[in-house]
Amino acid sequence: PGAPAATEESAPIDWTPALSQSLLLPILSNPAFVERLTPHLPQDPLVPQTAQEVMSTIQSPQFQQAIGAFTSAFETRQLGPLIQEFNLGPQAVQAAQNGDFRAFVKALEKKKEEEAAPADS
Amino acid sequence: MSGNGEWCTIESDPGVFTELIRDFGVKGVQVEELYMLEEQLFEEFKPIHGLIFLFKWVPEAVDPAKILRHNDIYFAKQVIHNACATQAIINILLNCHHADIELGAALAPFKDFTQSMDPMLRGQCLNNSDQIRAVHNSFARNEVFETFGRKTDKDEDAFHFVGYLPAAGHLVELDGLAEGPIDHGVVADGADWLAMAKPIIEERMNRYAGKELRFTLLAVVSDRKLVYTRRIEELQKKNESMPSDEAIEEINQLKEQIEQEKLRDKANKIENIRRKHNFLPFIVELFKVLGDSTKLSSVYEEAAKRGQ
Repeated sequence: PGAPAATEESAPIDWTPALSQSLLLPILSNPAFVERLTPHLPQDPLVPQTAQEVMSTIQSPQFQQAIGAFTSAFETRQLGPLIQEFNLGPQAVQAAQNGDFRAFVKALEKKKEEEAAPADS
Repeated sequence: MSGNGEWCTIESDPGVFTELIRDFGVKGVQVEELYMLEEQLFEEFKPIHGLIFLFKWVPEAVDPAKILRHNDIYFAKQVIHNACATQAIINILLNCHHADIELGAALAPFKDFTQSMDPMLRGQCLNNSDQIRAVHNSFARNEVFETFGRKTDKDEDAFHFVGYLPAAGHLVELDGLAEGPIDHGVVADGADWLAMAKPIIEERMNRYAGKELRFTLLAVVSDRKLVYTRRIEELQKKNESMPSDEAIEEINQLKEQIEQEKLRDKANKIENIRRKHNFLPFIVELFKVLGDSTKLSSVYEEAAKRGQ
């Protein structure tokens, strides 16, 4: 037996339409964001470390499959220990332990607000 | 996943199979998906050396009377879990005698070594070939996600590959789970084996379509760049003796097609690099970037809604 083609697999969450070109374009026209993402691209002479490559990577079936697997692993509480290593704050770790993706998303947004707050005051 | 003696599952994708064959060191072939069983499509891809029918496996009895035992047909039984794609491709390649195909440093010695063995022993030798397994396993998806959430996918262990090809004057079906090559009749001199295979595969497709089983048809064809280059040389010769605008136009078209093939090869390589990549840090960073730059929650809600 072999595995079915990636595109035929059922993912619990379909990120494809959400991570659309129109959503990504404004983000990836900010060099600061691009610089944060390119180091995590495959490091290979065939893979240019550019915003364009970040865009086509995110929209590739291989990435869509990875992010689908990530979400389903998250929701089945398999990512708790891994998320701890990423320094995302206690609320994000708690969300990962509970398998609550919505709470994880909220924690990431809140972390930004908290980090922004001292600069504002 | 790809440790001692293990064979990983690989994706059923013509680009993956083409790369796999090339990494075995085989020259002169590639794999294409056939979206339709049309003669026009056969014409386009000729020479076609074999067809691979991939389907969700259902138990089916094979009439023992249809098993063809013939020394000139290479057949290895499938003893390896997960490796049926590699198995089906190797069974086809080892029956090819076309001038375009060079088996190379991995498969030619393997064929010589196993030639005198029975199908079961050949299957076991394939299972034990470190070299072939290493190439197969280099197409593994990244382990981080291989271990997550995929175990529940019941589809995964139920896909099966069988080959159809002309061998020893017969149209044969090579199914690693059968006792031997399945005979679909004699290919008459000068007859086209594809025309013979078409109704047989069509019947099978109709049967599976009725049960709503998924299937895919792939073709093992001569390297397109090789075919186009050969045609260009032919046209250039013709053009020298009898110049024509049509010949020049076709030459330009073929050159363009060769460039397209090179781009496809590169795209396949990039896809495989992505397949092996651990995207976990990228995904986490992307979520952080999204959290910093936009309404991450609305992106998530849209994704979650689409997934329902």
